[in-house]
Amino acid sequence: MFRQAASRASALARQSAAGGQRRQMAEAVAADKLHFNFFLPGGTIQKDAAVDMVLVPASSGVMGILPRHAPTVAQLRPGVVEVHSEGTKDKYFVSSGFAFVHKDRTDVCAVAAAPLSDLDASAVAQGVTDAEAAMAAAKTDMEKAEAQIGLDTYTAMRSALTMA
Amino acid sequence: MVQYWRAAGVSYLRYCNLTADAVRSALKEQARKKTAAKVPFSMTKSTWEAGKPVSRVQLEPAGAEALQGAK
Repeated sequence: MFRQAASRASALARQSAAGGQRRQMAEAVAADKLHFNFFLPGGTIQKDAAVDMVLVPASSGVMGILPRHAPTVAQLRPGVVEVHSEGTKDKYFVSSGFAFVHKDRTDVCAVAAAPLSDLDASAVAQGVTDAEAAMAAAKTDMEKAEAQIGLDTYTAMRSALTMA
Repeated sequence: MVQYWRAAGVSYLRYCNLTADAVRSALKEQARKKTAAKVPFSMTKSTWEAGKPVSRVQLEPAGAEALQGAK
């Protein structure tokens, strides 16, 4: 008798759990918060965080993502991802990647990212100088483009540090 | 609207790796040590003859250098 009751209870529990999973695909956060993930190839910076706003450096310009933002995909350029949450702003410099805004969550997937405090100002200044020298020495279109890529990244880091 | 690097013949893969190398090279010592352990991958190139490996070359683990071919 008790075994029947226990199996019925566990069946009910399984049903409600399955029903709950069917109703919400992802772990939901409060409706006025943004469900935010921030992924790197080697690890996770934020997972299932409930934040107020995220600013991402899209290739078309800086984009602000608020809760209930329309689904979109943005390619990122070297720049700063700002995570605004409860009055605090966490800033990370990302090298490149994508921001995926889904209906119920936002994912920022970056190739390389670091908090601004991890960037070395003198190394950045040296990088700008080296990139400018590479630009001057470049001959072919591809060399010029690659030097320009380095220059863009280092100048973006420099302005991120000076504006922090 | 084509991006300048795409127009010059640089692939997105190469663009990603160049920007990532630039960011990693500008990290402070401590942060760089943490990421340095994760980044390098190493490849071994071995040529085979008659079912036996003839030569084995360890390709340099690196960022952009090792991916030079993946343009």
